[in-house]
Amino acid sequence: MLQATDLTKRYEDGLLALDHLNLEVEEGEIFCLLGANGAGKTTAINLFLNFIDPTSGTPLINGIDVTKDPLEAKKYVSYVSENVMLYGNFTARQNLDFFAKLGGKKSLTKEDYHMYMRKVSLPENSFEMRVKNYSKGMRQKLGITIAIIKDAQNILLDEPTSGLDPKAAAEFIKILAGLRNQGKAILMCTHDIFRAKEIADRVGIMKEGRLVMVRTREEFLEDNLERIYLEYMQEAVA
Amino acid sequence: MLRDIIFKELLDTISSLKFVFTFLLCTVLVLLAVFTGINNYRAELREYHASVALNRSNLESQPNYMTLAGYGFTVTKTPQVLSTIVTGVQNAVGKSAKVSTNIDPGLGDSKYSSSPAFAIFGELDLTFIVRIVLSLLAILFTFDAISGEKEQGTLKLALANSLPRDRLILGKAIGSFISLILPLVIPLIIALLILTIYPDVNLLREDWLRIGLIFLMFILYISVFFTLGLFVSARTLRSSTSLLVLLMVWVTFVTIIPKAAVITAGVISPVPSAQEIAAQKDAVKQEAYMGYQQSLNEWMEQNRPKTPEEGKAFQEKFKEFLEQSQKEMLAYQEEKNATIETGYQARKKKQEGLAFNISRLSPASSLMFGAMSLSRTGINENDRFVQSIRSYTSVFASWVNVKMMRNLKLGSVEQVKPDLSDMPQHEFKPENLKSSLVRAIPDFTILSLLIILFFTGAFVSFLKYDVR
Amino acid sequence: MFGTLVIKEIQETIHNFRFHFSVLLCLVLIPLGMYAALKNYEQRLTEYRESMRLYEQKSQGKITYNFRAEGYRPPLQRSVFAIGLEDYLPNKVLTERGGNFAISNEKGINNPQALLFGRLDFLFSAGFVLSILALIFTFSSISGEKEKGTLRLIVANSAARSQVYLAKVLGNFLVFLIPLIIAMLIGVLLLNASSVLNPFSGEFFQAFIVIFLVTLLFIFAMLNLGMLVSTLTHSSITSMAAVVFVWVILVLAVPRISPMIAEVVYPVKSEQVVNIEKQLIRENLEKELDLQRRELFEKLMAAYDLDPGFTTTRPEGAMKKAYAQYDEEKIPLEEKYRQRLNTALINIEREFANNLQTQSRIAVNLSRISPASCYSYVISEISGNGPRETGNFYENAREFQNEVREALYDKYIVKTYGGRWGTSSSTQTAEGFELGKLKVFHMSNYKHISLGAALRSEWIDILLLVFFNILFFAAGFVAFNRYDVR
Repeated sequence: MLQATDLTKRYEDGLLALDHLNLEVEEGEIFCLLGANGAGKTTAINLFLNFIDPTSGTPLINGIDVTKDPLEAKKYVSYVSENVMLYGNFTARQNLDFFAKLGGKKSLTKEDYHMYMRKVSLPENSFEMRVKNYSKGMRQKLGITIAIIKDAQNILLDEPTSGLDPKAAAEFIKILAGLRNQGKAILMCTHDIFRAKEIADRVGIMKEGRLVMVRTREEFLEDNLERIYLEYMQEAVA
Repeated sequence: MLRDIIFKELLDTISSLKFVFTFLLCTVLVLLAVFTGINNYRAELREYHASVALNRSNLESQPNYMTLAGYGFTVTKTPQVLSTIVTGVQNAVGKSAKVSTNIDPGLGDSKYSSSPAFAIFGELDLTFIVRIVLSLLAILFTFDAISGEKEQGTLKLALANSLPRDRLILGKAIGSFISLILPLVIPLIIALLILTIYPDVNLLREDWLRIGLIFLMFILYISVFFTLGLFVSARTLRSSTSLLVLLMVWVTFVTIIPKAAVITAGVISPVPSAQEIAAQKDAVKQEAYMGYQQSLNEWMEQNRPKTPEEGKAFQEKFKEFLEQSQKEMLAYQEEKNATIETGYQARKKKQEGLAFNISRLSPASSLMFGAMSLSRTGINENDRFVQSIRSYTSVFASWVNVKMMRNLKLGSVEQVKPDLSDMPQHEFKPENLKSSLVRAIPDFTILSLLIILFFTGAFVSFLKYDVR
Repeated sequence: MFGTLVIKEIQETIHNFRFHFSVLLCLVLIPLGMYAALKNYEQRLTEYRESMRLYEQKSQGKITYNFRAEGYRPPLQRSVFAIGLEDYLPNKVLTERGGNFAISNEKGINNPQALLFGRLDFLFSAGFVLSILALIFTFSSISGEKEKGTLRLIVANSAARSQVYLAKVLGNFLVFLIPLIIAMLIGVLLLNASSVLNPFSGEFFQAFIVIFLVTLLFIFAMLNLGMLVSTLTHSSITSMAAVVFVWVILVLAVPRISPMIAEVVYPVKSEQVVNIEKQLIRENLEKELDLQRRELFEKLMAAYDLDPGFTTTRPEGAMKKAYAQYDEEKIPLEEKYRQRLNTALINIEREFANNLQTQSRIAVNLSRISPASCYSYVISEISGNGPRETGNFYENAREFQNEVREALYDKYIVKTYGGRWGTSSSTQTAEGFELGKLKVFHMSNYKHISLGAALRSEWIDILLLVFFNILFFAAGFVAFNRYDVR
């Protein structure tokens, strides 16, 4: 379970990136965080991953305070970042191998990795190909594979479908749904309203560091999510 | 986990193009340097033997003691076997000295004087390769150690796991270091093997110890730039910035500071020119000679033979007197010259010491000085040799003067061929290992301190590094 | 379109971090190099004057028939650009009655620590540092833009690729020019502040302009080389690594490896061995000559029925006739030996010089693969202390020896005969010659290699620099036309 209590981040130059964020992502739930660029979505993820320290408030992963015991907390979370470059000189499998070991899975065989890659519908001939020759979609899939292999209970994703063609995006979303069904708590930051509507159990809209609205699936399916979102966007602009 | 990071770092570097290029470049340059070092040494050895033989026959062909004293002969420095690795100042200062009663000892016949093509650009010995090329390569290996992974996005992927930062940077450091050392150490080992193969290159046990110490210094030096690269990489967010900063630092510290240090020392602590000193010694010589002439004239006045019977006795007394006054003249000259010389040497030493210490701001200088001390091709060894020539010259001068006076046959045409059996020989003991090591200790220390400093800097910087 | 491209290139480069670094480095190093070399020149000038003064002092009134005049090589003002071989060039000549003048490098190696790292002069700043700066300027010109994605944007317009490339080259060149010109102006002003040098006078200023132009040629070649590397790579990191490798090979490795290869390919005896050989020959011939003279003397004395063991400087009667005859017959004998000696010595020297020359030429030609070598040679020659100066010094020394010979040596006829002490001699002076009227000889008409002569002798290096420019530019141009901008 992912929990943010009054999570605040103010930078030295005074910029308030996150303003008292209160958020809970349960097991078996996909929470999509929407918002304009700079609204604070990535900051929230960075705080959960201990990449920066909060000015106040607590990020908790499975009840463990990330700021107090980050190493323990990070055992229970997987991360898929935007724009995954990975190690270009390595093959896909070598990349998976390295991150798997970091994630604690030390004794996987070549066949195991191939199986994982098959599961995410990566073509067979790409398993031993150098990642620098991968397309963006393939790399994103590899990113999620890393998360799958780690098999942590919580998953953080930052703009995972940006730049993917519809087919690749659809495949990606399918994988996410599968992970949710396994009981993972998933927090996903995205601009892709279409996919968010498809997959999210709950949706939150962030504006200028604040979580201004949270809707459950029933609620936002009833309402016109696009309209709400755009309204909030326009307000932000105005 | 540490092991995984080390392996990944190793694998990542080895499979990159820059590793292949580095390996190639290092192998070619190192082997080239050692090969030419060996060739030079063997050529020097051949010439040394040739000039010793020529000198011997020259000595034996001197018709009398006067020409022996006047023309003198040449003493050649024994070539240093470790000049195959460190050229030092050898080629600049010359390798032979003329010993005679007329000449103030100094080294001549330097390679650079006769072959200007070498002097224009300088030497390509192994130390140069390490000092200039390998330090650049070390930078090339580490400039994007941290910043590159951040740009790639793999840094945050790694840290999204329960991986402590200190373990990450430690692992990266060890992994890159091994992958950097491989292309450097392997050619060095091959070079060592080549050294052992060549018949003329005789390495005693002490020489091997010295080589070991020199190689240790090489590795320390490369490590300085390695840790510097890590440090700068951990303080910048973009690899291109990191590389530029490192290149500027490299240019400044490896090429500019050593040169500037020497100039600064020359300005702060000037030394009289060689001409001045030579002129002073010349004046002393004139003085001594005039005094000698005067006493000779006086004595002649008093003791001129008035009858043919007194003639024979006169000759004996005359010879005794000559021997005596020559000795006095020489002693006088030596005393005065010694004062001039010690004063001059003291000022030279001061300037030299200042130049050395200022230039030790640059690790490249520490490398040079340390390597030269250990291989006995430095300024210190040079000075010791000149000093030995100087003391030998006075020993030789007194011997030859005694002989000259004893064998003076007044009134006959007969030449007395010099008997060389009891001629004092020039001996020079190269510096022993302990002294060389003691002199190299400050340089070892500086390099080690820099490594510790930069690595600590990298470590601490990485703990607070913005991985986003 | 072209103008826009050039302006954008200039603007982009100026706002770049590297530009600031380059400006800093230029403004510091070029004047520093000139200043250091200026100080070196001033020191050499002082030493030169000191040597002459000491020589004058010790020789005043002491000129004899055997006098060995000393000639010193005056420092050349143009040598503030490159210190070159100053430390190793011969700078003193000692004339000798017998015709064998001696050449030496009098100051010896006074502070070897200066030689350990090489001198700091303009040549170092420009050849070593500016070259890497030029490469840094342009290495990511193409590959970096590809990475950023802006390259395809540009090429998507109706700008011909040739225009784009040319604009980049021109833009970078113009920007690099600014710090270079400013730095050289500062350098010149520094030189002007010195009391021993007026940089705006005659030949010096011409040399300065020429050096500036040649430096431009060299820098332009390196800029083009950087561009070329950029067109052959696709990421700026790769370009950077490639450029470092290229610089190491061209500026560091090639110039130093060439003499070594030449030495292996064409080894030459060392000067020391040659000197010893010469000395041996001289002494052997002298011994022979002495023997012959003694025989002649004894034969004559026997013919006159005199005791050869007794000699005097005031011969009378039969002895006088004997001595006179001896003097006459001795002359062709000595002449023969002198010729033999000269021929032998000249042969050895010529062979040695030729061998060295050939080896040197091999080394120089090998090193011309690198534009940095070509540049070094041109600047050194203009500074009057390149390899040719050795030969030039020999010429001047020979002239000086002839001067002294005509004014002094030839005015004396020296007679020697076998005697108690070996040989003794007496001298006779020529008609109308007064020793007292002679002033101490100085090598006052030393002719340095003129600027024009230096340039003429370096035509090949200048041509090569032009060639490198064309080569690098053309190669980059062609490569860019086929460059994958995606």
